[in-house]
Amino acid sequence: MIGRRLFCSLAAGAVAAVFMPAAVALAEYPDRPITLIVPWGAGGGTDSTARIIGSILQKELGQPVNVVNRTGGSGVVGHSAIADADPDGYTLGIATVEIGMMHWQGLTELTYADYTPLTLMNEDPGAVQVSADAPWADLPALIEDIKANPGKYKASGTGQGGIWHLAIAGLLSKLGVDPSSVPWVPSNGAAPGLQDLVAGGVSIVPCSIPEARSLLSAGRVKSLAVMSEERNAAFPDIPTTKEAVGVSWTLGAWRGIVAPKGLPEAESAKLIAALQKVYDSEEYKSFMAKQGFGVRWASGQEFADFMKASDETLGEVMKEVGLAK
Amino acid sequence: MRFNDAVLGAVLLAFSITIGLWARSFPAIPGQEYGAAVFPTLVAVALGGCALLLILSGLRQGGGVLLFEGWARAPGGYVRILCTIALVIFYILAAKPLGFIPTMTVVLLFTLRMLKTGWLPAIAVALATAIVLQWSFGNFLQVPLPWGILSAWRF
Amino acid sequence: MSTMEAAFGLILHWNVLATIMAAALFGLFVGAIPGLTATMAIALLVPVTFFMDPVPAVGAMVACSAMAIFAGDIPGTLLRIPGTPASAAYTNEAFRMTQKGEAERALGANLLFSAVGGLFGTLVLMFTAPWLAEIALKFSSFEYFWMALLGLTCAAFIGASAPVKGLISLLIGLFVATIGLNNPAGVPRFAFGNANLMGGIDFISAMIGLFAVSEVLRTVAGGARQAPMVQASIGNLFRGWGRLLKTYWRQQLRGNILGTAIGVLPGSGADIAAWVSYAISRRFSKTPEKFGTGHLEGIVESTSANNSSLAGAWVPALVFGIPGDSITAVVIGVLYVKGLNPGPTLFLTDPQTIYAVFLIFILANLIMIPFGWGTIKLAKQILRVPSKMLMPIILAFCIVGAFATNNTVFNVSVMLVFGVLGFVMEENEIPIAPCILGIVLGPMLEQNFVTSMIKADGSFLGFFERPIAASLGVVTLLIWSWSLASYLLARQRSPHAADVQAAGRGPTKP
Repeated sequence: MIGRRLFCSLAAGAVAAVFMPAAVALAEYPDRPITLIVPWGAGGGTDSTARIIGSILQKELGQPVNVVNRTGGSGVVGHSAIADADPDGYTLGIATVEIGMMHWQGLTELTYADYTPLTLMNEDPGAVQVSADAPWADLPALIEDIKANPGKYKASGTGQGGIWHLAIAGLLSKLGVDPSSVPWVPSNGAAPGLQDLVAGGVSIVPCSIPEARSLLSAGRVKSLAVMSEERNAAFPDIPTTKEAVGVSWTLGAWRGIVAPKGLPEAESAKLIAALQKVYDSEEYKSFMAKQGFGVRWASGQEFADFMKASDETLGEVMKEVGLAK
Repeated sequence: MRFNDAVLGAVLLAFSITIGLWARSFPAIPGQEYGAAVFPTLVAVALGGCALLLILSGLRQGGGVLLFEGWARAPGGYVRILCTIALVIFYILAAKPLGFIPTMTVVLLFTLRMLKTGWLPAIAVALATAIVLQWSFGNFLQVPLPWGILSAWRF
Repeated sequence: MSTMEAAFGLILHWNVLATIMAAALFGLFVGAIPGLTATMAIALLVPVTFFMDPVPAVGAMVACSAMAIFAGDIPGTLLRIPGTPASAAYTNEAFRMTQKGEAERALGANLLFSAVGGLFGTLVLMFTAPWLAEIALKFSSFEYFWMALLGLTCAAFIGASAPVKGLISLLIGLFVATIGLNNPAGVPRFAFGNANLMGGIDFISAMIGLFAVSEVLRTVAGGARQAPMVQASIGNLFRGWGRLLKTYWRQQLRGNILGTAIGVLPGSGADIAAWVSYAISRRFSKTPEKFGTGHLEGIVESTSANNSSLAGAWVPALVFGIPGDSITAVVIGVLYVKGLNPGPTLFLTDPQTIYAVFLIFILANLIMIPFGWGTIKLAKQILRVPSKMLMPIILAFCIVGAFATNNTVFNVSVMLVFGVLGFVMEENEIPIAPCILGIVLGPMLEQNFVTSMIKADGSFLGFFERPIAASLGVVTLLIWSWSLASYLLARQRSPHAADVQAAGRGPTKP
């Protein structure tokens, strides 16, 4: 009998629930747990960044923030999941630089314009890594060698058309070298690419400094130049591209918090304020510094402009390399 | 429900031809000689070969197209299999709008009744399982099982 | 020795020990639930470890992952739902033992050899890490290509009374692995423009479907009228362990060595180690015909392998910051946060912390025995539930497990499709194990083939130019030609044997 009675009361509850939302909406946002979608796998840099942001945001908002991985399809699946969620402030996501790349390849219709921009939290510029026993002392020497032997030196560090592929291709074309003279060897991320660099399978890995950090410290790889305006604080000996070859080429991977398009102003303002506190917190700063990740801040419209600029730069390079459709 | 090897082989042959032809439509990548089509084509060719071997051995054996043994002799078996599949499809469609607890309770209740569990134990087991799953997965494992119509009572 | 004393000092605190115990229990729980992997358990621990000291933080991860990999064997053995991918290789074998009433024996052996395997891996990690890491760094795509091909060769050893059907199953698995965007060219394949399919077929959902849902369908078809499987209680699990160790020392040692070796190589972990070990066990067994019928030998070897590979994966992670598997990928991030930056210098600058981590490895594998024992005794009770009630609950767990893999209902559809596929395949005597091996190794094979060809500018000779690659290649080709030759010889000796066997299997059976 207990089962049946329970069933009846539950059925009654279900009916009541349909007529309840009006009452629920009165409570102040947020009044229930928030989901933070990560388009990349558990354990990666984006995942750990999202998890630290989530755990501090949780304290700021007073509601649990559940970090949920939605992986696959070079980020397409997760980015779509963020855009398709209800814009009620209870589903957020961490968008990555790939949002400005996928649509050029014709993989999805999604662009940065399909989100409500909240805050940019991090940026890591690319750098040119070669094996420690490689013959090139600096970037000009490497570029001369590439010009003299097109096709001989291979590069790796992401999938075909991934961010680091574009980083090296864009650098070469800025220098007036045909990007196809360094063939790209696709890999599942920077770690396998670096391993292949040390194993002697490829010659160049243009990934970010934090990704190469342990091998840099171990003296197994050396970095010839970093693709940003300023040198990396942790490795101040590595010159910028401008210092090394006189050409200003900057490209990096970034991560930022976004919501589905159409998030109401009130929720958006509240979230941006909370995220600002996260960004300024000692915990976040020290976490990112220890991981070797760079931090970069932008919010609201400023973040939207940043994404737009990133989108256009990437589109140009992809057209040049023949990856855009 | 065993098919004759020749029938299986024919199905697999058609399948391998489909994927082989489909693979031809994959775009080439500039600067990559070995593109997306190479591996699926190899798989299609090998699968086609195996399918032909299967057809040959099936024809040599002869016999009927289908063989019924065990559960397949009684019609009830098919009905129960189809019901189970239909219930999972119901879950796939209804879980988000209705929520996990109501949908899973329905799925469990039907399956339990189908296997001739008494009404009372069936209802108790269905409800208890659904509630415990929602509670433990949602709270300890951060698995966002949908609340649906019960959103106001989330725990 | 003072380093060792300092290391002991670091872990012999009640809060360190309590953290390890709690993490171990959490690992047992998550590992035993299908769809939730050891990697996921670790990822869930990450935010918690932010607020801990380095030693308990790393200790929690070590204890949690070791428990989760062992616990994955429990639902696999009792219900034919592998809890983690690392258990998939011998799920069928262990479930057959349960059907014979030997669940306790199977799980007891799993527990014992998991713990011993973990200890073996730890010893290797402690004494040879810097040296082994150097070797692991010499592996490029050419070497990995041969490794993947060697792994696929295992499919020939793991299943099928009829080789053609085993091969078909493997090819289906390889095809499934090509679906989606995750290929070297980054081109969507067989995806119908669907964003979910572009993400590829989730391996864990497919595995739950092939094993567990197909079993549910089969039981439901028969009306689930079977009585509960009666289990022989062997009472004290520890009794008979001595005999097991004596009987299977060869399998155990081979599994341990292979597991550690595969674990050390970045990009291959516990799941591949278990498959390869199972296949090797069958290949070198004196009674290969018993495999697949509920025989302990293969289980011993592969469960020894998957737990020893866990410690192996820490070798490149600690020495070069290169993850040996998906678990260490998470751990490396935590190491950085705790100021234990991976690198060869870690062993010099902070030896007491590293030794404390090693001690925790040992501790985790020792407490696995009482914890695992309790879990087995508890979990076994589930077999008392009558089939007509158990099957619907299993179905519910399958649905939730498939959903949890990527938090999307799409993976429930994947699970259903593969459940029906597995059901039809097994009805037609097509083994499902090679299919799973194909899904696991397909991406590795393609990735390394394509990237090797790009590097070698399209020349096949590239596969034999590097010393390790050349040796692996020669070994692979030797195994192939030897297997083919012995098959042809056997055929020549008894020309009718193959036909008779074929007729015996056929549907014309009178």
